[in-house]
Amino acid sequence: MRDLEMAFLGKIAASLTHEIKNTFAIILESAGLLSDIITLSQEQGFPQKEKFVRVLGNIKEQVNRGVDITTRLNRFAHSMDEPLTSINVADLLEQISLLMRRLAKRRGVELKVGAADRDLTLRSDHFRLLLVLGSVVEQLADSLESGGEIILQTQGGSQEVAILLEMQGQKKTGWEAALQNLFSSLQEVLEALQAKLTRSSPPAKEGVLLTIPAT
Amino acid sequence: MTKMRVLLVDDEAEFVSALAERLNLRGFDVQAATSGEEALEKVNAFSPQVVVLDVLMPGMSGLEVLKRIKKTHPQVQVILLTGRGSWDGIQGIREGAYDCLMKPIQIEELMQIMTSAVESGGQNRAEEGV
Repeated sequence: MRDLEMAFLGKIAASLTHEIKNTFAIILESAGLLSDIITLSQEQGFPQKEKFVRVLGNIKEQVNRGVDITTRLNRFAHSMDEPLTSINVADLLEQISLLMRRLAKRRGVELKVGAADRDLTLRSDHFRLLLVLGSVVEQLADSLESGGEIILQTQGGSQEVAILLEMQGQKKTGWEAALQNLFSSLQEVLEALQAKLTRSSPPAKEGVLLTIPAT
Repeated sequence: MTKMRVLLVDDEAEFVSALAERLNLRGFDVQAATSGEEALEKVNAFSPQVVVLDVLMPGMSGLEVLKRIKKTHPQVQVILLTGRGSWDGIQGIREGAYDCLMKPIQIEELMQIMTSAVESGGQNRAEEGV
């Protein structure tokens, strides 16, 4: 039943994002037309032309920003379409970075994608992977002092895929216990994915390692 | 110089009228339709060289309109517009569309693709190797 519920949620979200995009398309064309009228029109002495052009530029910028957000949401909505699908791991890390970067930034932490094998793929539940990775990113962002970084990267593997969420920067007190609590709360999802979350500690890169079967 | 004849088809009337006016200002001869049925009537009456066609419309879908245009007017080039993504593009190109653009569009890109479409004389972008 959960798959049915998720597919429905995803379908509605995808449909609404499509509708929002149509609205943005209208605003962008209308702003473009106003801009054209001002710049292509033969009339001289258009009052406050520079101000109009500047404001229209702002409208276009915000619309493009809205489109970017909607595209990300649409892609996220589609992650709920199928419980098992082929996933490019590098694309997955990019997607998590786009979904979670604002949340990390509000905590003063930068989220980056580091070295990732572009040929690495796996078959898994796309939405659940995003859930696990997103939850870990959020916890790591809470664990780091402002100015810290989280770097998403892949590590080796043929039978299984390993994704490292590396922490760089000063850590807050009690972060390890909070991380363990998160691991416990994700246990059911991890079992469904047949995945493992472990801490990666020095001398290795410090952070969290997610390992998942490749098929 | 003869103006390129373009038919715009989208159920969002405000979108299609703003885009039509922008293309007119740039020297195109443009007509608009807001349904599949109206689009097919105007293809017969106006003889466009290019049809810019929204995929998702109530009633007759863009893909159905595309199929019918390709059957009755195979020389007309069709460029699909979609808010959804690559699936529509792949389907459309299989049915004979020249190319597929994601909404919202950039007018300069649309103009470039329309010009390429007319100059290609029947091949789509996949066949051109673009």
